[in-house]
Amino acid sequence: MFKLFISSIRSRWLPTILIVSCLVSSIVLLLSIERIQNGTKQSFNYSISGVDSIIGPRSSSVALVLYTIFHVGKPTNNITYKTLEYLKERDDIDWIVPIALGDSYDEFRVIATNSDYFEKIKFGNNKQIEFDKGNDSLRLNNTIFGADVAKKLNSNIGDRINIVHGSNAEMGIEHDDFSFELSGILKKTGTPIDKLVFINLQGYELVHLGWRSGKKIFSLKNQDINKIDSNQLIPKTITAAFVGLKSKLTIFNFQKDIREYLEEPISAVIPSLALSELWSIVGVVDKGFKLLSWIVIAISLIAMVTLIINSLESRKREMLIYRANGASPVDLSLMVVIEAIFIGLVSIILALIFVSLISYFASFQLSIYFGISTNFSFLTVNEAVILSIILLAGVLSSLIPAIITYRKNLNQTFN
Amino acid sequence: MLTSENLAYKFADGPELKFPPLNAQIGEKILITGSSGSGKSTFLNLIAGAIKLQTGKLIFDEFNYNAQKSYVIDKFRAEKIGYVFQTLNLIPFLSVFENITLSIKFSKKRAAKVNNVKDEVKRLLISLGLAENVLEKKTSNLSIGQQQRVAVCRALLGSPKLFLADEPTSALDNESSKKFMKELFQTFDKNKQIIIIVSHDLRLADSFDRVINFNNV
Repeated sequence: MFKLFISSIRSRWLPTILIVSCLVSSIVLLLSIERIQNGTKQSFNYSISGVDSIIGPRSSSVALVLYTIFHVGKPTNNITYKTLEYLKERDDIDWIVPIALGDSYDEFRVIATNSDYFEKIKFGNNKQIEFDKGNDSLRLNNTIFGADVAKKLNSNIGDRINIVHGSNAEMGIEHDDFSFELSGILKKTGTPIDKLVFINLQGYELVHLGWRSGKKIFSLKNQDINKIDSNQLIPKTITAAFVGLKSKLTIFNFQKDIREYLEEPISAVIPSLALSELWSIVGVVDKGFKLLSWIVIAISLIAMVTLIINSLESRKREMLIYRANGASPVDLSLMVVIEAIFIGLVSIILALIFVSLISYFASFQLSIYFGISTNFSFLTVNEAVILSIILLAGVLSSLIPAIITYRKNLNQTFN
Repeated sequence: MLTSENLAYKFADGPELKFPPLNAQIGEKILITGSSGSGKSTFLNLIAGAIKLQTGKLIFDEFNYNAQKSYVIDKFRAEKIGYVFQTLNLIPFLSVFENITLSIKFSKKRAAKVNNVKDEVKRLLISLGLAENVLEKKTSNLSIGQQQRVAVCRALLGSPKLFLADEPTSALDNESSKKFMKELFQTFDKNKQIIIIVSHDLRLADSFDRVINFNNV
């Protein structure tokens, strides 16, 4: 019976291929949206761990998380070092890691911080940042590269670099009066950390000593670095600070205190909440896309049923010959249902193959542009549920031509 | 073996057709003839179980058609009846071999009667005057006469007790018709089968044991 069915469907290969293409495209669309959403969510959540709060200028919490963790977008304002000093004295704070952003090197962003960053900031499931080469020594003239930076630039310990003022290395002016020596290369983390160039906060302040309002006033080349007063190297402002609390239970009180801090407008953002906010914003568009793809799937299924119903007329003789040879109307109806299951299954399998290829390509692109690693599987439970729904819908909709077939053949004369 | 009494059938939009009683025994070759609209094909359809019995009694091989569920009749047909249409007997996308073996696809009992399918198909083909090499051919490459012979092969595979054919020679010329009938009767198993053929062509009458003319009813 299956062989008969395969031969029959082969005789109608062109419309069948077209309908399979329709279904494959719509399933690929739906699964891709699902995968990109889940993969991105998963990888964003993977990018930071162990940080209870991010202190930054009062603005959108999503924007703060995006530019401090994912290095997407630019900070609009800074916070003063005085505020950082105030925070350090709070009893509820366990540790605090300041960061300053704004400069770049090659295509990578420079982050000025201190060695605590590598100990306190975690990723994934509380994983520690590890060194592939060198160590976490981040002295005044040291730089540490993320794994992707070192790989792309083919860097070795001891290499010297001059960072560029501004976040666009092509447009900015090079800090050519002071160079940093590469002291460490991080192991790959699969997070945006891989694309960062770390320098010392004081070093960052040092290269900006001769700068006023984005313009270079004097060069460090004529200065004796050792004679510069260390107080001059204490940053006046920083971009943000990552904070670890002694007890997570105090987070909301801490947030409230920060909000009520009178010296300057700052806010304490909880990374996971900010990410949830991000997903709720993205979710609206996402739901729209999903709705559209379900509509496309429905249209494809209707097209499949139309194809089968249309083919019934041209298959009248075929059906009659089966009947004369003992096939019951139920057998013939079953053939129609099997055809729908076959079309559905083939479409699902092809769609899964396409989606896996697309996922691979998408994860590759995410990794290139954002340093985000995504872990796509061939078929998730959620996807299996979606595909089962599609298959079930296909089978149910095929009942229409199946019933037509049954009725047509029940009292069909052999003429 | 095959008995019918008081058979009548009325299509929704037509007059009631009444059929003569029939009593056919194993080994009999019966020709049903009559003008168009006399009900020859409807009678054949009733025996084949394609349409549901409305009035009268019909029994074949101790199987009473009355009040049977349609799937039971389908099963009975698959096992015991071979049927040949007037034309367009073959499925174009199947090979000759696949077309012939269709008749044992829907009945395990009938399939079990054939020990070696390929050999039996070849035997039937040769006895019907076809060459072995047509087996893998596409049906569209066959002449009408060859197609009708392939249809007969199919109807006879698995030795059904009843062979029914509705105007099988209507598309053939006189000579070909005679040759076709001769070959059909050679293949027919007198000890096991009954042949009922519907045709308006009375020139074939000599070859049959009995002729029933529906015009005389």
